[in-house]
Amino acid sequence: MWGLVYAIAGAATAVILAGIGSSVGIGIAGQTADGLLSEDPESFGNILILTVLPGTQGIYGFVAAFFVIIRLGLLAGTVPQVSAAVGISIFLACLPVAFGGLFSGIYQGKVSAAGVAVAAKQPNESMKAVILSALVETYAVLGLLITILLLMGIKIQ
Amino acid sequence: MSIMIYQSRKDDLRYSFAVGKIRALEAKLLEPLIFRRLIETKERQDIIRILSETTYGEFFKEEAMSEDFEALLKAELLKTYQLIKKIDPNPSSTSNLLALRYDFHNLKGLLKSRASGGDSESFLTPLGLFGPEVIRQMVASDDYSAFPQEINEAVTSLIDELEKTSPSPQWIDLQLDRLLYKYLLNQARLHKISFLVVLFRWQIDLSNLKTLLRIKLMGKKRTFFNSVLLEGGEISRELLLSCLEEPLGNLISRFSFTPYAHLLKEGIEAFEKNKTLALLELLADNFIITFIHQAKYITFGVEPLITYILAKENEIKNLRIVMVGKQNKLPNTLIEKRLRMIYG
Repeated sequence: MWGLVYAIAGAATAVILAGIGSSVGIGIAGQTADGLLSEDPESFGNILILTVLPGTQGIYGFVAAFFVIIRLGLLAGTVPQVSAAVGISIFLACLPVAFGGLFSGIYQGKVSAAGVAVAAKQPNESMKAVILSALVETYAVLGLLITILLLMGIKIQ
Repeated sequence: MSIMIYQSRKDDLRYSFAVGKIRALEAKLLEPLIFRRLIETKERQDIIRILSETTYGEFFKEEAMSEDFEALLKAELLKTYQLIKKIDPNPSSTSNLLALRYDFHNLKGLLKSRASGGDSESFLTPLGLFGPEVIRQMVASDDYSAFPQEINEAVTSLIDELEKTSPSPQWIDLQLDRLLYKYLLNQARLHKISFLVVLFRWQIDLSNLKTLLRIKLMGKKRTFFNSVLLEGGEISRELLLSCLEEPLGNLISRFSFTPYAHLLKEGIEAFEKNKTLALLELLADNFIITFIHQAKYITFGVEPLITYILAKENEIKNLRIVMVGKQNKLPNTLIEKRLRMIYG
């Protein structure tokens, strides 16, 4: 019985931490973007991608959690039998995307906010700021990748 | 010349919105090209035409503004301060401190005109944390309790001294500067804004160096110099006092260890030649503009707001140089030489 509890805790952690990372990140980038828009509403197109970028971490957390749900067969309507060892393994497998998402989301938000300065000064160059912000994304993607590989590797029954 | 003394600290996310807005506003600051075009104008009408393409354009809806450039510049600066006050999450530690300088400007004018019986109206500026009306009432009733306690006490004791002796207007100016900068530096330290601490300390040093040269030129006494030196700068009082008796040529080497070595060398050489501080003042202004460029690399903090105010003040100073130069029919090259470094 406890195995299932650990496994679900892992799925929840992935969604919660990666979600926090994204919310904080978009919160920071969004405020700075709003500041720019308050003076220059036409720059919306240029800064939309910058502001949206930190949102992906939340999605990665969601994907990881969904993967756990599928692996456990929770949607089938029956309560799966999972040993404690497997449950803890699933929990640990969820941590890369959870922490990767938490921190990369916040820092990506900061890079995006700084990129707003580029969009303000030279709107045509704003894609360069997007690329720099996307570099932070790499580590959330790596986190998700490892989480999925680990989840695939764990034998449930 | 690069100056990297100021070190960044923890991100202050309260300023996220404000900095985004500042980035948009900075992009609208007048560029060097605009100044070049302004300098090359022949008619007053051309200046108005060029400026109406910029942020200054909105003021020309009022007829009076195209007649009176000084009113235009003051209106723009007033707008800047109002805007910063609106977006600054904690104005008491930042824009209010910078605005206080204008209250002191008004206070100086009013106290000097009271001492000498001259006219102060033309001297007053509409800017300031308190505004000219409040300051006028303070001076009329000799009640400075609206100021923070520290300033109130200092100004009141200064007024007592004014009544006992009848000092020169320059002395009044420098005394008020002295207590203003002491307060500003204390506040910057209290709020832990190291950007402002560095800025004020440099302004104090530069002001003291200018006073040193002026006093050398006027041949005033050591006691006078000692009584007007601003406190809190990086250059010690003893060093400044000891320089009073030394020949000008020695000063350059005496200050070679300071960040001002470069500007002092050029400034003092020009001062020796033509007995004016114009070049030194220009270099000192450029020194501060170079310093505030650092705020470009700060996204989460108050620094960009402070920098925007200073950049706007600098832009307005440059516009004034162009307009006054044009009025007095100065050659274009001379006007260009007098322009301060443009922030951007």
